[in-house]
Amino acid sequence: MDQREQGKAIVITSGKGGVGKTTTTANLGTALALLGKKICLIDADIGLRNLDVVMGLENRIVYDLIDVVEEQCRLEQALIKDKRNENLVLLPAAQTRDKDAVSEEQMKELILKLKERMDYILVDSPAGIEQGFRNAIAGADKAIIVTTPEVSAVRDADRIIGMVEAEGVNDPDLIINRIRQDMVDRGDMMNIEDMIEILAIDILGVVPEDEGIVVSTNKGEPIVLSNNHKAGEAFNNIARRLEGEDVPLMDLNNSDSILAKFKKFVGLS
Amino acid sequence: MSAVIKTKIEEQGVILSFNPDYCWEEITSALAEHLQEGAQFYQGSKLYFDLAFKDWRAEELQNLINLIESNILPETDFYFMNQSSGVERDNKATPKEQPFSPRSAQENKYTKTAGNDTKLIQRTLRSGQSIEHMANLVLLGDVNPGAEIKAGGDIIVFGKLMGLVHAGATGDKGAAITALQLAPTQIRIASVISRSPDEDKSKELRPERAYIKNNRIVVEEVNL
Repeated sequence: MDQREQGKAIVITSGKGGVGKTTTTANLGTALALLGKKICLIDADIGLRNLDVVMGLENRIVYDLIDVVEEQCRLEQALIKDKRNENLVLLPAAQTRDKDAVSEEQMKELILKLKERMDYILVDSPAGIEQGFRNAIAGADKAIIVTTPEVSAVRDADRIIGMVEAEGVNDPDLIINRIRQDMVDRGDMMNIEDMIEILAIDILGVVPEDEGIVVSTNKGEPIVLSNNHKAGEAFNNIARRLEGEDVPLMDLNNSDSILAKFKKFVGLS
Repeated sequence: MSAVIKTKIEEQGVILSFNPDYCWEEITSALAEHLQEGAQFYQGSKLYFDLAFKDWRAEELQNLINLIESNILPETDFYFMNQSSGVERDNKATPKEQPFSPRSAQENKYTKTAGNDTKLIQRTLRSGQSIEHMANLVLLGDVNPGAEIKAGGDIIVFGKLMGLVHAGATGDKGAAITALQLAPTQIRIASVISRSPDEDKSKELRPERAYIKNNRIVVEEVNL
């Protein structure tokens, strides 16, 4: 396959910490791999790595991203195959180093190499707007901004959208995570329209708050792999949208039957 | 941006390589500082200087030897190596010696660790923290997941060992790892790597010892 199309590098970022960047990266990557795409997840959070833990691959790490850029090993040696899906590999961050151990040029070069053999490269960005963030967006073709329905998270998302656009990564997409429809209905939580109005970017998906996320994160098993979870369904839908499918946003209204929830889609997207 | 001197613990000893982006004055002053700081650490071990990055005049080489000799403690051997061509030069006039055969490192080990070079550390290693020592290492405390502990000889952890552990890192397959609770994310002895099973292990404190048997890492209970 020497004529294959170049893969797409997508950075997943938010500015604020704890809004679900790593969870989103793990689940989107797994969902896209389930669709038969070749995926590489990169943990750009040097010194505070988490993606390997969320993927349940921590005990397989021998080499990491820093070893690759410092040429202590070949790129192939550092790519950890997922234990459930052969289409998915993870390039873990180093834990005993810091963000300055890698430069933007090195990240660009690395991503360029990976684009030759992958369909998607998902880069999990660290929180913040410093060197770690700049490394994460270096080489990205597209950005996905994750936010939660909180004023502070939306404010940071707005700041990050500006910075991403300044770096020449245009048209970022938005994922709204951890939304609780019952609170939105009571007027206690920002609704989707409010956030889209402030941020003025395309919405890629809405992920409902789900207790299952905590369980899946602790077990190291992405939630898209288990059925009956609304959050898992939402991530699967986002993966299909990335692939160009027209999937309407999920209806988040609480009804008793899960089946009924999935049947009642609203055509927002 | 990157360091002037890079060190790497290998089976045979410690390899020091220089960043050719720096000028020679910067390299020598950084080297002198590095050797002074690490004199205790390097005592009794073998240092390999990677000189492949440039061509050397005899005079320069002599200056380098003087610099190294004046900054290391006795019993520290040093060698020059040329990684690209494999040419090795030995300043101590033992030209036939093959510094990169694992056997010579192993023979050397017992004389090397016979002294009082076991390091005792009393603290808990948290995620992202790492400790390296050329010889044996005893830690009174826990090694949390995400932390790394690496030693040329044996490792004893008087606590819970949950992070990454590497004993016999300089190639000693006879090295052992002992812990009050042996539940590392990954365990390495010399060049053998093993990882803990994906299922959760029991949380009881039960001293265990890991060593190499038939080229595989085995774990057995320690009866105190």
